[in-house]
Amino acid sequence: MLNSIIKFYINAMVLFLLGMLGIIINRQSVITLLMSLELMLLGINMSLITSSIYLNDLIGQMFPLFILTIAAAESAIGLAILITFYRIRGTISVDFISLLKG
Amino acid sequence: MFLDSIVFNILTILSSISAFIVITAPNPVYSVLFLILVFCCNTGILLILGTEFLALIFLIVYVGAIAVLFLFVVMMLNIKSKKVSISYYTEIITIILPVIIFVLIVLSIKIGHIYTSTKPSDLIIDFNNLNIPTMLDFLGDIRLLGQLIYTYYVVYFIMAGIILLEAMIGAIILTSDKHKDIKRQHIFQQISRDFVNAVFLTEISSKKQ
Repeated sequence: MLNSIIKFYINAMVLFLLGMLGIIINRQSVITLLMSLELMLLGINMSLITSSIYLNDLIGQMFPLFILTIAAAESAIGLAILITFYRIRGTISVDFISLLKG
Repeated sequence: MFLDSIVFNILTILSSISAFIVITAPNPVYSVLFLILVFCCNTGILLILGTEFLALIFLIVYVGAIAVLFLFVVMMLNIKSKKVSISYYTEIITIILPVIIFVLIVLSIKIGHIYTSTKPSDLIIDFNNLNIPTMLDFLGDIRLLGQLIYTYYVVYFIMAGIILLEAMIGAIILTSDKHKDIKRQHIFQQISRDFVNAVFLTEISSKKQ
């Protein structure tokens, strides 16, 4: 069986940090940005579920359920905005995303 | 040899490598496929932890809904391969310093509570004579969650449903443009006509074709 609980936390932390790094690196491509956002949310979910098993509290399994719901809703809306942007602009380069205003 | 330990190590290393490929792949299709691999690896890790319901929910919702959504969008849009350029970031310290601080904070919290044991069921610190593995085996994962969600946290449950409804409405309205050219009656504007603004002067610009 497993030796320590910290390996779970390290896995969750690595996912979260790679997601953050992905947001910083991939400013140019919106789809990879949204995927890095999903990675961050996945890292937080894993951390919460590990804490739930570690600390004997079931709220740590309930909260990721709701986070999952919100992540799905936010992905849907973000991709819908992306599609609309692509329809208008013809490209999904974020250099001109400030032209969406007005 | 402890099979759980070997499988867990393989799953974590695979998930970390796949996450790295997600953020650095030049083609977005590769990113989406490796994102699916990350989700599947984390499903396996959740199965090791003993939360089977949550693991399968991850599979259904993350892979089956969110990743499929990403795949649809990536296949539908004509995306050129991007080049990863880090030359924009001359202040690399603004990236490294928060990462180091975050890592130190997390490790300083967690290292104080490493619980090492060789017994299989000793993963839990027993605070109030509760034992989640025993409860999970006895009541089942779903029933346990249901006893919380439908009683104490029912407001959040209903709100989650409302948020999903709004997300669905928002996505449909944002992406549907079939009804923009249809001439239809605007009943509120017709009824709220006032004699003051019934007749007005407009400017019609001539469009060059």
